[in-house]
Amino acid sequence: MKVNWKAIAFFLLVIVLWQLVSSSGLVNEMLFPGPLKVTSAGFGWASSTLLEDVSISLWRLLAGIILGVTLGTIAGMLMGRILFLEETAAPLFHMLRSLPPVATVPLVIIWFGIGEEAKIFTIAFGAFFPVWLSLLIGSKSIPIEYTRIAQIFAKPKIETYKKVILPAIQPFLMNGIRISIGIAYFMVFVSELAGASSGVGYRMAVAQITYNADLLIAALIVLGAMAFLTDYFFMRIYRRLVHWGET
Amino acid sequence: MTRKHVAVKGLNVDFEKPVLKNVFLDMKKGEFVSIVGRSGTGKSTFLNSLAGFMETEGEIHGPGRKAIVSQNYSLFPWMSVEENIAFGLEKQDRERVGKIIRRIELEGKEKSYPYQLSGGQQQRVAIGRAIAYKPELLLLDEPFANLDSYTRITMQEWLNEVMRENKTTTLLVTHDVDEAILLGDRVLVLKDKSFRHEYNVPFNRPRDNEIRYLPIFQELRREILKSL
Repeated sequence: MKVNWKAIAFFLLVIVLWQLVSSSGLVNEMLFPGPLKVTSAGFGWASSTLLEDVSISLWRLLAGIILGVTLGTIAGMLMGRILFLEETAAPLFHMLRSLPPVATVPLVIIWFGIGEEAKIFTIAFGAFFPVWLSLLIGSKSIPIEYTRIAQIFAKPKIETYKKVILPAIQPFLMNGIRISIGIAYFMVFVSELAGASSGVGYRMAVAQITYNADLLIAALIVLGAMAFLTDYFFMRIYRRLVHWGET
Repeated sequence: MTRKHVAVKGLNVDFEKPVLKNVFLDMKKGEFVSIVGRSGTGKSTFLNSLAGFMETEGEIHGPGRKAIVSQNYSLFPWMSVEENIAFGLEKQDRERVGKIIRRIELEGKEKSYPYQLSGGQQQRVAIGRAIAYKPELLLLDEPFANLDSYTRITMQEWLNEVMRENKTTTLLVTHDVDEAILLGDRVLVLKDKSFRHEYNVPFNRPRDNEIRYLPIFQELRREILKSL
């Protein structure tokens, strides 16, 4: 793997400048702690609840994504393949899609309280629409020649779905999931800010109330790293599944 | 009298307004018929009607086992060469794949994906997949339209050889009059919603590309072009 030395040098430069500004006395170090203090807060967190917080956030993220993506896939494919369903249901879905997912949080708390169901529902709501829209478009844009070839070779419907339609929409599904993951991260954070007792978002809320800026920055870095690594591993799966060059 | 292998009687196809009107066609078993016509005259619609892809009026009698090769999206991009060729086959017929790959001269490319092949190679795979299926009627919808002229000529020669071996009843739609004559036993001109002219091609098989420089070829070409 080629090492990007320019990016590494720039990253190190930012860290050094950050530390210099923080400890120069020009800013309040309590509000703008340097990398040394942030690292120390991070180690403190690591020796107490970091693993638990990351695990619970990841669990909520995964559960929400699985639920949202599954329902989004089913709804998107059905509406993309059945014109009656698209004409009937898609306008309502488009209206709901334009709502900011965060705006649903107060209503979700009224419905489900502040338990796990509420958080998973909120994340699933955010993850649903990108996959739904991607598959609605994808299912309709399968070249007719593909299904005609299956038809002329007298392939049964199930085999046509398995060997032709599903692979043809796979790039759309994967692109939808990638966007869903990004939104799901946002929704995990939001849902943990409101009425949680664990998770990375909860830890950030606590750090904010207690003016613990070094822990807050450490938590931001952890959240960023989680999102970056999720995207990295997802893209590896993406390239393995959609390996045929053209998408 | 030779029994008709394909018989089309009074075929009508409408897309809001008529595209094909009262079309008749008879084909003998093993015959290669080329259809030419200007753009938008309904050549591909006729082929798709025979394939069973369209709602039509009139009678179409023909074999049930058909295969089609079109100019676009002929191959599934997520399948390798051998998977594409095996797509139409039952499990017990998969041994045919190796033989077909040799016939389409793509040994060593079995595991390649369509995007790793040239345009000519891709169309050879598409034709290979159709032939592997052993269709009783092969429908070719401008299969070489997207190829450069050199590859196109090479492919025409190659297809002539393949068709000589297989003797499959074949219907070719093309806008290239040279291709229609070179490959066909008969050339039909589709104009004003039905076949208006018919020309018998006076060349025995096997044919090679050199026949296109013969005066008789040029004369036939001129006549067909005039009738378009």
